[in-house]
Amino acid sequence: MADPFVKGRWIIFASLLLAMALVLIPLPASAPFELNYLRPDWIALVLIYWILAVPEKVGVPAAFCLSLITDLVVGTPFGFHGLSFVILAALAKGSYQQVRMLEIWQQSILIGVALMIVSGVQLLMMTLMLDRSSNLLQFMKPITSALFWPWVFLFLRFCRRRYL
Amino acid sequence: MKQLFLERSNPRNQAFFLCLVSLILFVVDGKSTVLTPVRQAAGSLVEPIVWLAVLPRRLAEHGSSFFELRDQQRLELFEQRRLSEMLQARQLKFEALASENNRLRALLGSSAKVSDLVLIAEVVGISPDPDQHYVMVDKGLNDGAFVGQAVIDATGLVGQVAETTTNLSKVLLVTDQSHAVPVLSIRTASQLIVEGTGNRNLLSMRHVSESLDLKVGDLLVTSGLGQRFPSGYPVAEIARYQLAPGAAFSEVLAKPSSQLQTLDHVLLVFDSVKDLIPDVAVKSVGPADG
Repeated sequence: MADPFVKGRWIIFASLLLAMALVLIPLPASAPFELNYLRPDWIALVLIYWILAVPEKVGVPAAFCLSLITDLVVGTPFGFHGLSFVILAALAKGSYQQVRMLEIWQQSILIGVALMIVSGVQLLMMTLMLDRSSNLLQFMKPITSALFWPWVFLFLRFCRRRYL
Repeated sequence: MKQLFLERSNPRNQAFFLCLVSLILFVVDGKSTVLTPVRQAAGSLVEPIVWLAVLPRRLAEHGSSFFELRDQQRLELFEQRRLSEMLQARQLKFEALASENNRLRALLGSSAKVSDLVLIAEVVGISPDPDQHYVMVDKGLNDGAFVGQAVIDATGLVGQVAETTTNLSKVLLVTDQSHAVPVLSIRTASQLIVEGTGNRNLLSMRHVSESLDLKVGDLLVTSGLGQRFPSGYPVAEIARYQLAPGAAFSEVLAKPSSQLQTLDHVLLVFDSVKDLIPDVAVKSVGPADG
C-alpha cells in the first residue's frame, strides 16, 4: 500500500499492546509487594511518544479509544483512564512542536509533571466518585515514569525510524 | 485518504467533550451495573492482550523445567507423589465425615451442605493500581465461572469473582476496600462481618460490641450467611482486639489467612455439580490418580 497514513501503523499498535502487557504482568512472588507502586505508567508513556512523534496519526480521539481498551484490559470502570489520556493527548498535541525541541531530560521532567497532575485527577476520581481511599505512594508512579521516559523514547524512536 | 479520525471539529472542544464523556462513563460504570453486558462482550474481544502478558511467564516456566536436572526432577516428583498420597489418605477420612455431616444435616432439615467442587485457575494479571485489590484469572464464562463465585486458595478465602468474560475473570480480593464477608469465630460461634481495609495484610471489623467474646488468635471462617460464600472456609485470624475506654465499639483487626500478595494459583468454588462444565470437571476435580 502506498498510502503514507497506513504504512507502518502496525508498529504503533504493537508498541501499545506491549505497554499493556507490561502493565498487567504480575511481579515474581519473591519481589517485595511495594515495588508495584514504582511501576511506570507504560501506556501513557507510549501514547505520549506517538502523539509527539506523529501527531497527524495519533490524536485525542485515538487516546480516548485507547483509554477504553485500557479500562477493559486492566479492569477499571470505563472512563477512568479516559480523562487522563485525553488530557495528556490534548497537552501533547497542543505543544508537540515545542516539546520536540527540548532535550530528552527536559522532556522527562515535563512528562513527570504532566503525569503527576493526571495522577492527582485519578486520585480525585477514585476518592470523590467511588469513595475509595488511595495511598499517597501513588505519586511515585509519575516519578518512575519520568525516569523511564528516555529509554521509552529511544526505543520507540528506533522503532519509528526502522518501521514507520 | 485513510486517516482514522478526521479533524473536523476544534481540537479543544473535542478534548473537552471527550473529558466529559469519560467522567459520565466513569460515574455510570463505577456506580451501577448498566454497562456490565457491554464490558463482558467487549472484554472478550480484548482478551488476547491479557494472554500476551502471561506469555513470558509461561515461556520462563517451560524453559526452567527444560533445563532442570533430571535427578532434581525425579526428587520433586517423588515428593509430589508422597504429598498426593498423604492428601488422598486424609481425603478418605474427610469424605466419610462430609457424607456423615450431610446425612445429619438432612436429618435436622438443614440445607447447608459440605461441597468441595473446585476449579484451578492461574493468576494472569494484577491491578496496575496497588490500592485496588483484584487479580485476573484464566477461567471465564466458558469454564462456568460466574459473578459472585467464591474464590479460595490452599490456605483460605481469597475473594470473589467480580466480572467475567469468555475466558477470563476479575477476582476481587477480601482485602479490597469495597469487600465484606460474613464470618463466624470458630471458638465461640459469634457472627461478624469482616471488611477489607485496602491494606493487603489487614482486615477490619466494625460495630463489634464489647460484650463479644473474642481473643487474639481466634480463627474466623465464612459463615455462609448471605448465601454468597459457602460456609467453613478460613478467612482470617484476629490479630488485634482492643477496647478503648469510652468507645462504643471495640477495635478488631484480623490478618487474612491466604497470602494475598503472592497469589499465583487460586480455586473457584462451585456449589453444585451442575454448575461445573463436565469436561472441565473431569480434568481438575476428579481424584488424582497417583
